[in-house]
Amino acid sequence: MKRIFFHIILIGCMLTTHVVAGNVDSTAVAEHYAKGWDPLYTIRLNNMALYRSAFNQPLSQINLNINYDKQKEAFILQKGDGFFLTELSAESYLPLSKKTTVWGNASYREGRIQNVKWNSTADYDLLYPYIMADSVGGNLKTERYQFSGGYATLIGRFSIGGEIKFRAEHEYRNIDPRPRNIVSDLAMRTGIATDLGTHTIALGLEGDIYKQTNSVTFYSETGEITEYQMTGLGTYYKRFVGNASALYYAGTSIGANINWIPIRQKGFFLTGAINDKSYKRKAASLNSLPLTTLHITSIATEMGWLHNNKTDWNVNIGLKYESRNGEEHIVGNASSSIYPIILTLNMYNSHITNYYVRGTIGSSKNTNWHISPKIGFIDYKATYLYPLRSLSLSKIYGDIELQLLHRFSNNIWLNWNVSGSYYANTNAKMTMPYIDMEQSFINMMDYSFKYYRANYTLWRTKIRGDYHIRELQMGLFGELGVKGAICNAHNNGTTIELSAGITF
Amino acid sequence: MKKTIRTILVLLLLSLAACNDDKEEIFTSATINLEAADSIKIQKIQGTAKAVNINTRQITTNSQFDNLSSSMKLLRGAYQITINGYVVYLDNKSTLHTHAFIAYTDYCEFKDIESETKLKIVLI
Repeated sequence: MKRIFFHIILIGCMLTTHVVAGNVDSTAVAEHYAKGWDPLYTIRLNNMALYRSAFNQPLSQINLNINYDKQKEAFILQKGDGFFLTELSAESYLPLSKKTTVWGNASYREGRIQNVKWNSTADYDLLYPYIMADSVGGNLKTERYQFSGGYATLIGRFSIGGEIKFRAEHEYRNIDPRPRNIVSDLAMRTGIATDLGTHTIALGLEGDIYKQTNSVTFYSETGEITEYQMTGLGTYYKRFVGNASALYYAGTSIGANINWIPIRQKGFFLTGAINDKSYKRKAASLNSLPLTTLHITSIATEMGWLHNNKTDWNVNIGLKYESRNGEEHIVGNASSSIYPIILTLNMYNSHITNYYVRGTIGSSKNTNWHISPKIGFIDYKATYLYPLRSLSLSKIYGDIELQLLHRFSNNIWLNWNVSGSYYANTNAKMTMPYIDMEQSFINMMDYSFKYYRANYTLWRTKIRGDYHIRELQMGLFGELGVKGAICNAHNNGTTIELSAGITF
Repeated sequence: MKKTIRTILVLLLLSLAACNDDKEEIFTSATINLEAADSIKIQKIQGTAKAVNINTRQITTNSQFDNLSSSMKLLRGAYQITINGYVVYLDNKSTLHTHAFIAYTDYCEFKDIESETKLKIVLI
């Protein structure tokens, strides 16, 4: 499978080389990697009709990336205390004509995640709190295959685009407890855009079909440990403890976005997106009995004023919101191993809101520099209705990011990013029915709360150098990124990212 | 231009409003009615009703009886019910007796906001 995948990546790269060789120059790299500060850049990446004209120049890249992370102890138990991941990717963005653009991406990643506890399910960020878990955990091996391809064209006054993306992921462990999780995730995005006066309006639709098979087995003769079907804030489905360790998740999502952006790179802009996801957890060993359903609604909106010229500046306000509603399916008496669902109760809900104000000032002349300060407020509350458990916290934060892009000669570009942020906790409260809880669950919740309520200092620096070889119509690049997290709960973590590859 | 911006803002507000989740009642007012044999007439009852939620394994008890009924606020769901106690009753000859009893079911559903079930008193 791996060999086939590498061949697909290499063939893809050869094809893209054939199409674009001779058209690309060193400024393409600057155009593709120097726009992180620009709100329009992010908007164009998220709407397939706008992505058609996101860049003027074609760029293809083959990249080998090594990513290493180590935390003193895990900030989030369920995600482990470090990882070592290696990824080979090929990506391409090709304007075929003034009207039409195609793009694609293929990547393979493998590696190890260290000391994962209280989580035996892949895609924790997506599926929490409805995961399978045990108190032992361990290291996980992971591999991921990902493909995407898109096409956008101008038909009359309308730009129309679409993209299909597929991800397959495999996580497993070779010692007890042995989770084996296989994810397949197919996402489709489409968009339409047209000019209206001084602005472009763009609408987007997206959908996703998700499946994960999730099982835990034991080979040891000394016995098994308990796998829990977690239901939020340290609760679990007690009826099926120990007899439902083979699950599958089936989910769909649908989303829409609307964007209103200035054509001449100056003026008011607005973007809004809404997404609704739903994931059902079923027990494979109990005739596909649905245990829980998780509904996730997310909204992101940003509006402001921008002015991209010799001096660039923008000011914007934004809001990101996500709610998770967890339904537990209440199961009646089994008849011939078929369990009826007698009712469904909405037992878990959580809301997180992130409000922020951000500004940018900079210049896109010879030395391209931009500085972006941001302040914001995060409010989070999670509740399990009965027996009542709740967790709430608020954080105020400030962030500043500097980007410098300098052209040393016609052939050499250097792109440097540095950022720092501080998250100060303003409120944290946890209510738990400690008297009814098992000690291992008390320890797990107390551990999590220690890091929920901590103050964090985050910093990041990344430097990328590009060298363009004119004779070969290609470039070489190397990138080194280091980021760190320090919190007042006496913990810290460091991530080092190394990349090297070719552009053409 | 202004009209378009206004339309966009209204659409965003509508989508925000659509996110308000409806809170559904998760509890039921569950009533367990005890039934005695036709040959006896219950005068007084004293005991403890224990409801075990089959899915959450949570146990709720109640020792208050209103005639032959015991009411509890429970999480809606499926339950195993046991009532142990003593009854004072009159037999066919109007003689007063005091006797231990049990009433039991291994499965009953309390699904609605107000639910009830009937259990037979077994003298032991």
